[in-house]
Amino acid sequence: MKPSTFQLVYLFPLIVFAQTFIFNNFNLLKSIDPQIYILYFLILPITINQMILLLIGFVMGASIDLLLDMPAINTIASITTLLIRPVIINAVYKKNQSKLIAENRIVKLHRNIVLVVSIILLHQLIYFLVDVSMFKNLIGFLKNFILTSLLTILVISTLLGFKLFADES
Amino acid sequence: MEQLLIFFLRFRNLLLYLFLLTLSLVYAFHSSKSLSNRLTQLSLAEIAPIHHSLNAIYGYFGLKRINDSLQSEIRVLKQRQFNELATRSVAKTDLSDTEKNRYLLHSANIIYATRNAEVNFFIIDKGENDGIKPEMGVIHHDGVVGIIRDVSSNFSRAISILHQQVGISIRNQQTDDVGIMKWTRTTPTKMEISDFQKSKTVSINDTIETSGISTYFPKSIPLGRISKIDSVSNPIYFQLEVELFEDPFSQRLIYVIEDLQKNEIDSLLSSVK
Repeated sequence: MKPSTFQLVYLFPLIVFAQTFIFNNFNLLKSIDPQIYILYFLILPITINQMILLLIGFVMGASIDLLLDMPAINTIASITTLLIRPVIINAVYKKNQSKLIAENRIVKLHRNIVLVVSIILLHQLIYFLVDVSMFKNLIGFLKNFILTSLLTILVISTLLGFKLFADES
Repeated sequence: MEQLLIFFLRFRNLLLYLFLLTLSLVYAFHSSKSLSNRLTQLSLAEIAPIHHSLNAIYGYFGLKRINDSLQSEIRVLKQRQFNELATRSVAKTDLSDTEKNRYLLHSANIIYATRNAEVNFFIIDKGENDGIKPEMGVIHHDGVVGIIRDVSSNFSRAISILHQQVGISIRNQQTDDVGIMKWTRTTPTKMEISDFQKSKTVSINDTIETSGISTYFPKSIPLGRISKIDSVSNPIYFQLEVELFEDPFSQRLIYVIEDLQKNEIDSLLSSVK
């Protein structure tokens, strides 16, 4: 699946509304919600200009923060993740460069899983680090971080099937 | 200028990121009371203990100053208390100023004291220059310590109440009986009274205070409690044991009492002799 520019444009409000009105009412164990808007950062093309990337992340995070009335936690987590995203992509690709010639489905799948998981974990880590209320108890921080990350990975991989932009490269 | 432009172009992503981050942080602090509250609470929780321990250290070095100020404060209050007690039963308008302010207190510190010998004395750090004269009474915040004997220009020596020959004129607060209290020569807090006649009523835990009959101490300074009554060993008098409220030399800070009417009384006494 290689999303076209048109698809990306209409997916944007769709994902924002899905996140704010559907997935934020998940409330597993009272406070665990999957953060599926990270999906959007995964399907953006590799070759995209990083300034545009940062601006997209900012708008995405800010609109979710405004709709959920949260203190800019999503925004900070999003722009930080997108700043580091090229580094992660480079690392994952460089690692598999020797295998590129004889690339098969398994290797592609493996690479995509690493990408999805690492970006989600990064986002979640920053998200809960910025959320100051989590400083009070380490157990609560770890519980929220691990459970939300697992749920997010589960939901996003179900939606995406690990078919990313990387498939086309 | 060109260098600056190159710099900006090179780090444009990072700069944009920092700009957006600043924007979000500003938004976070302005929009959300709860986040800024949480942050200030967090900083309070982290910083307050540091200030607390620093304060403890500073406070330790400032204790001398605090002691001095407290001592002078207590001096003023005790002086007022003694003067009030001395003139309690008299209408205030009938008194002259010297009669109203009969007692004057000087604060001082004990710098040397013995307590194990049969004859104990101590030295204080105020002398003639500070208005100390012989035959003045010395008290601490919770009882009597001794009487000034010798005075130099800056120091004074006093015999303590832990002395065979010193007897303090006392009164039983409950029954108003007057007697003389002496040291038992055992522990610093144990005194004895051996001139209460058996016709008087005495009971354990009666409070003993100064009588005010002597010119050394004003009246109604609480000293201790009767802890033991021995009515067997002497046919006429009780042998009473008094437990002082506080060891006379547990405190370093003491007050010297100056009786402004002492000269008058002494001249009367000498004319009798």
